[in-house]
Amino acid sequence: MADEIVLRPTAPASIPLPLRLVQGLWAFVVTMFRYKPLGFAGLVIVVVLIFTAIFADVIAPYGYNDTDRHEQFAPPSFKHLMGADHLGRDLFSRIVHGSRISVSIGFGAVAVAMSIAVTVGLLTGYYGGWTDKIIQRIVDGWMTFPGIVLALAMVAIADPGVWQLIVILGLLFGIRGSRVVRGQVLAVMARPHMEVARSVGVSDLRLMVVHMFPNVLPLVIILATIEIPLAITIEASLSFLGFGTPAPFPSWGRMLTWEARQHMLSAPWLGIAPGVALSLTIFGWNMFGDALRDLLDPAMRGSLGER
Amino acid sequence: MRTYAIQRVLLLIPTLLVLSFISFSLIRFIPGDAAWMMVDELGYANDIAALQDRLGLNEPIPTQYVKWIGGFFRGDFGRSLWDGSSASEELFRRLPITLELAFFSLFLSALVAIPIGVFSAVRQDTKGDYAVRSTVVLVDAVPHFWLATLILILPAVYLGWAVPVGWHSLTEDPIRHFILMLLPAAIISVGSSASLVRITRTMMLEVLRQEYIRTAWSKGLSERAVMYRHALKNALIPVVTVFGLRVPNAINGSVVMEAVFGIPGLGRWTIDAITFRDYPQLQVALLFTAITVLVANLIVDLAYGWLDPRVRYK
Repeated sequence: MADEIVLRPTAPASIPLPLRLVQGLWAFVVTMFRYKPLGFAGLVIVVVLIFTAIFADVIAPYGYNDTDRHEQFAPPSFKHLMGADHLGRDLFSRIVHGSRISVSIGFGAVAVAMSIAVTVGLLTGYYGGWTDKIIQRIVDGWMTFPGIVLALAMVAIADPGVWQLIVILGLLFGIRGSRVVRGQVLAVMARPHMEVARSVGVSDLRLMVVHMFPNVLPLVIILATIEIPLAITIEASLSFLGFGTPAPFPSWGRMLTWEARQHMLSAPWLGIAPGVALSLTIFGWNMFGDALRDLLDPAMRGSLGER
Repeated sequence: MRTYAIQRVLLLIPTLLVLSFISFSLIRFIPGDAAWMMVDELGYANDIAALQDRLGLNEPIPTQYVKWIGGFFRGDFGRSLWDGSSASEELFRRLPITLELAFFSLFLSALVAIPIGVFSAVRQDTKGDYAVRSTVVLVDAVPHFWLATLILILPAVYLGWAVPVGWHSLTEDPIRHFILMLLPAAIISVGSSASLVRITRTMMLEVLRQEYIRTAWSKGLSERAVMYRHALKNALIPVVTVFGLRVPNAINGSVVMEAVFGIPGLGRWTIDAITFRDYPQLQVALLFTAITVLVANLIVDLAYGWLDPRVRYK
């Protein structure tokens, strides 16, 4: 079991770069399949989710806001795979369209978060000094606030909407993540290659981008896979509390709100499907992230036997 | 140990300042203030400027901040813009409820998770261990508000019996109080339990590989003595940290559960204050939520220093 895992088999340089990338990706998926079956299952769930989000219009038999008063509370059937809600909207179609919110929040928020985390982390870790000390105290304060409470206060600042949520969650996770990136930057600074590069007169910018960033990247990828499910959970919680994605949009969290709960007594399927979709998504990301962490983190390579 | 404790406490002062600054300034960005709501949406008065003046919303923001901070030293946390009720009174009524919910849930998860984690480590790679690990992985993916929804809906639909929901004050009826608190606390504890099981298992496995454990075995000690006296005690040190790390999550969970179960805690207060732009209440609510986490972190750090002498001398 403890064979050396090669993520990127060194391909001859004659092969063009895009092809090499595809090869590397393929090698990665195969490694995942062989050593991390649960992680592979997670990957499959994530890929299905993204696929659903892209082709939601094709997959969903109805629009997410198509009401039909003859179909109010229709139980699950071939016409409505997961039943219909109090306005006669097809639940399956709403779940399918809801994947778009989940995917855009997950990727969007984390893209914003990682940009913030890398920029702040690189600059503060690299330059240090007084600015760094002050920024670190602010980060300390920021990290002390429980995520949902902070997100609630920020949602009140911006009107709720998918874009606003992406920025808010991006800020929430980005500032926290900058601490992790900074830690890694400090560790890389101590490595000999940085000293060598500096002594031959490489500029600060080039040092950061060319010599530092690639060493921070694996950590950033790991951080991203941890934070995507967290961002999705917080969006769902905010929507559940009535502060997230606004009304006609089929956010999974919003489908489970207090207002929706009174309808669930007469139509329990309304309470099942959104929750299953949400849990499955989080499960997929968690499993994929765990496996990715094990494969990317050299210190963890020994523990391949686990899960 | 004393120097270490004093150092840690002194370090709180700058953090407290940062916290008060964040709580204060964040909410000033919220568009529209209470005066606007009173005039525009509710028609309480005609003159916005006069109302803003009366509520102190017209003062320069730095002045407002200094006044607010100054108030703390006199025990005056500000008054609600809507009904003039004292923020400190309201805070001291609501904070204990949220604290109780959060720590009750952490207590429950320790009670459940540590024995399960130990079991899973001791029986590594058996069916029991696999069962524990798969359950943990599945449970980790379920958002607690959905769990709450299911628990409230399913018995009502299929058994015709509704789970009791609400809140009773501790002094009036302690038994009913704890019955009502048990369910929300248990739901919040599920998430923490998952990570506690995981860390307990990992740490136990690591400790069990140590040489002093082999020594303990070879002296002929019973399994009980090896596990509890030698292994568990050492394995629990990092578990304490994870326990501390779960405090913010417990508060997050408490905010959501307070909304679901109608519990009048800090979370409900925060949500109401946001809805009504009630700055004095909101900044106090935010600040004390953060202070709770801060104090919890401090306690964990001190406990860590006490449990593991190596930490103190760093």
